[in-house]
Amino acid sequence: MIWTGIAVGFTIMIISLYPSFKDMGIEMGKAIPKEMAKAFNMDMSSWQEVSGYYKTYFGFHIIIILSIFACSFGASIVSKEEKDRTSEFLLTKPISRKAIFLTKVLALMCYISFSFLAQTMILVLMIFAVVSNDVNWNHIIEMHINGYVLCLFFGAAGLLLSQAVMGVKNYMGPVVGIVMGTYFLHAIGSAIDDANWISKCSPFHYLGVDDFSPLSILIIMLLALIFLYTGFNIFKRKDIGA
Amino acid sequence: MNIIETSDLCKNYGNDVGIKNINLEIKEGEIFGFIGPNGAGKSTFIRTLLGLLHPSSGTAKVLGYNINNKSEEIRKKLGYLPSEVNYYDGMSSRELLEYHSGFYDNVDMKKIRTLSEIFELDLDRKIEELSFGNKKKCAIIQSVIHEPDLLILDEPTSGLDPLMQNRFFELLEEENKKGTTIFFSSHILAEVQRLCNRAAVIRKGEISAVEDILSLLEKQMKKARFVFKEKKELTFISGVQNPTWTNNKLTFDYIGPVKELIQWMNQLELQDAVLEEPDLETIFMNYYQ
Repeated sequence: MIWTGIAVGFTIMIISLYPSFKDMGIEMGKAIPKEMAKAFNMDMSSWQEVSGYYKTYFGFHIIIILSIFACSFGASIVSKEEKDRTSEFLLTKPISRKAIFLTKVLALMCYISFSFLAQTMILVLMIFAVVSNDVNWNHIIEMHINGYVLCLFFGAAGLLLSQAVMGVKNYMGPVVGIVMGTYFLHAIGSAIDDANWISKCSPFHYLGVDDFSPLSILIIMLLALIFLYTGFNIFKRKDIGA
Repeated sequence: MNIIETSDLCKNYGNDVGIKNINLEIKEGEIFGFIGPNGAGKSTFIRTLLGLLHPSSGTAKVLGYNINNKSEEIRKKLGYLPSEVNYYDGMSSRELLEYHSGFYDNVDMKKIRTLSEIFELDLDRKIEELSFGNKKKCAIIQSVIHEPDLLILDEPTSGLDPLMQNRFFELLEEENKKGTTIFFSSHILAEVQRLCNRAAVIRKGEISAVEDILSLLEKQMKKARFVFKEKKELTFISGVQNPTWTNNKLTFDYIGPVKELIQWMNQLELQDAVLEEPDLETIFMNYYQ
């Protein structure tokens, strides 16, 4: 709830500021180095339209906040039971490990979806309340679909992390490392033409704020499924409370 | 019918041995004791039967089902009381017991109320507010309310005061009369002596002995104290150990058939005689030497 609250609060703040910022984009853009603008999706020339302005903040701040939330939630949803030793209570009931794992995955997806939906609804309300000119809704929908898939991907990555790496008491460090690490891979690759290949190692490259590709979505979803399947196989074979 | 049946069951933790070649057969309706000091492998054996740990080798059947592929079926008919109770802190005891009940078809909700009264457990208090003993009471209720065919108890009395321990033993005897087989693991030997028909002694992951409780007691050392009119020369029978005279009193340890001891006593002109039954502690130490 805290992470969702931060994302929602940030959305309210940036859309509230849009009327003051929309005409300043071109001037601000001149002050920022081209490489930096490329690295962080800062296309200030598009600020006249709200989706162009919004993508600058969505791509860097909101998506990072929600990805960290998804990844840390994924990392704790199964491992918390093991850490608190309530897994012994659960796993001595007549329920299979498969059913437990699937229920946890479903809960993870519900939480991620709820957070994303809450942020998206607030965004829509804020745009209706604040923005008076035309809105490129297609652009907003596409970047939100990309962002949602990214969060599901990081949720699955967090769950796999918690099953593959044992004995970690607090997963927040590794989670922030994974999300920020992959983000900066994308940023560095985008900023330096010769290092463009680095960017391809990051999911942010395939699910950016400007490009919408169903094939990329499919590939990232497939990767997320592989993460979940691998995580399940570790969980299935794991000794509990050893 | 064997309710628990294991064959060369092993569990290793890397190079460390948890349990080694455990062969046990526990019959329907038994109250079976499982005795061993801390770290002997009692909990490892139980956790392996429950499917929490995967065996390294060997096989085991519980309630007729193989633990490797029918664990879910086993758990439908099984009640488990762990040595350490870890529950969801946000819940009250009532919520926890209702949550537990949701996994089974045959929970009698009246039994929750009755048992909570017997064990003086406030069902509306949050788990995090409960003492270790009260959590244990909640765990006891949780282990029996779905009428299991097999009850597996791991150090069940830790945290309970003597009065509650007594009520708990009465409950177990009642459940056993209804047909529930009980597997009772403990390092407190008096508990096993009081409750069980048979017991296995486990040491360093291996079973040292499986005996009827009575055989365990009979086969073992007895402490004797004979009082004579005056000290005299005696021919000791085999089995007499460490005879010591103090004036006209003779004390010794005896290992052997009681019949032979009594026959020998009849030949002596005794003023008084005291034969002390060994407690399980002594038997336990005997197996360990």
